[in-house]
Amino acid sequence: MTPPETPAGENKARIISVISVKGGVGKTTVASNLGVLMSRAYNLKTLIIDCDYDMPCLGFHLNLIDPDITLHDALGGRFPLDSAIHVHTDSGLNAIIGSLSSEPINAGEMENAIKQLSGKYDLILLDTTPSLDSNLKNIISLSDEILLISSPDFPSISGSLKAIKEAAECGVKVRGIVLNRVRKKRYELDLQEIEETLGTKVISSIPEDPKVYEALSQKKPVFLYAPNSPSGKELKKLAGILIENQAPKKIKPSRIRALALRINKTANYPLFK
Amino acid sequence: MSEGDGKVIGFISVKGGVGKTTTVSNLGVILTKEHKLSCVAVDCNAGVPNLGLHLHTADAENTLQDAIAKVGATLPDAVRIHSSGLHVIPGSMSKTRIKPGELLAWTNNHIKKYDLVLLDSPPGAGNEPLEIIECSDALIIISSLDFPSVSAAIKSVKLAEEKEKTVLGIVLNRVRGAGDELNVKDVKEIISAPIIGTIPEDYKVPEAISRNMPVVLYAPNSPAGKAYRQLAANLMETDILKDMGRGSA
Repeated sequence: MTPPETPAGENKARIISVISVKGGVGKTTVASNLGVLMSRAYNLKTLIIDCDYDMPCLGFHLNLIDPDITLHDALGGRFPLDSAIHVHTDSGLNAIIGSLSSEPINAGEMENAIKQLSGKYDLILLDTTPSLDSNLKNIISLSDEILLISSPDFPSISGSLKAIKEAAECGVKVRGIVLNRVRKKRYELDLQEIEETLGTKVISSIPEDPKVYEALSQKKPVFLYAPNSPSGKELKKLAGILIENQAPKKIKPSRIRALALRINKTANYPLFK
Repeated sequence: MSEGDGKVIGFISVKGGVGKTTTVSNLGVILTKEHKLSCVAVDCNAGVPNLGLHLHTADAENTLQDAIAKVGATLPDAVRIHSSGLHVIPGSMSKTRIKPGELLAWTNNHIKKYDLVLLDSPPGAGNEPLEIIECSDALIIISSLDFPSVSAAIKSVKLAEEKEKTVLGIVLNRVRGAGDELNVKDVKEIISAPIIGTIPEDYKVPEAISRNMPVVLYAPNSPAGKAYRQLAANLMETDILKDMGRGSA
């Protein structure tokens, strides 16, 4: 599949990285669902890249398991970048998947790759590694904003504190906290406590939901597998919150409206009002 | 303290959030309290050191990083003694990472003081996990029953084999017994290491963590508490530990 053909440099995609320095809180689950939602429900040209170079799991969530050409191939210069872009058939989401076979990766090339791809998309989502190492720091610095995923417990929140500090050092905005696997039990940290500790708003609270496991076992994002499940609904709401202030570029209605405005100006004829 | 046998077990998983720290803290406590081994649990996750949160030593000022940084530092500088008798070396929330080679040198210097050193690893396959594998006599790999974790477990086994280290076994964690989970029989077939323990999903585990306690102390008779006790018993039957319990103590 070929990616959308817009010359690089015309647009600049908004780049959101999905971060948690504690593992297993749901980065890939949230990122993959946001990807399909942005492509399918909100019509944004969206690319998702698996930047967990050591243990790339995104392919398991999108049924794109160990594809023939991977991020590792593209950054290593073995194949052109465009050939590593795969299309998720159910949503149209574009995805670059990492290699499962521990190939070396030239992580320094990431900045160039994102620059090249940026002109072709409205939105680039970066799924990341749970180790706060130089690779993660690099990904944070390449992002316009970060979305922090956390579960409502001490270990996860203490990880989030570190990530927020790192983002501040890179001058990158934290868009908000997404609480995941929320069981609403008394032993969990409560929302207010978390917001106060982190000094950041919780913008979404995704409930613990067995449908998420089922969806993963079917290699589908839960929003496609069970759109009306508690987690599916909350993820859709989260996508809506994230695209506030961001109108999709170049979709038909706005072009027609622009045309109508031009006609209106010249002919003073109210075609669309 | 008398000299121990000084074996090092690394707890690894390339995928995060599968329960490494939970396993280290629970095993450390049972092996100390019930199997009478002299154990030290070391938090080697310099990025997000959470072992202290599981064992109520998070406010410690002297950490593994301090102990390593101090030339000729003696072990007691960094050790906290948990109410169970388990020795704990927490990591620092604010200080820099451990440099390659430092952990190995430090472990070699201090290991003989204990029967067993439990190294809690960060996720991934970067320098830190690789050094932990290097330091260890044997490894335990944690996984749950989904595609991402099991493929990570396969990768972890491979890392261990590359360094010619014994994998004592796989601990299957957060097992729900649900239809969407991978079949244990299939997992046994694809991973070339035995399954040494199966821990069920149990809300008592996060509840225990919220009280900074391992579940084996917080709710000893909970399903997870019992399963961790069984895991410790299974571990005591492995070659590396077999003679330890009876010999020392």
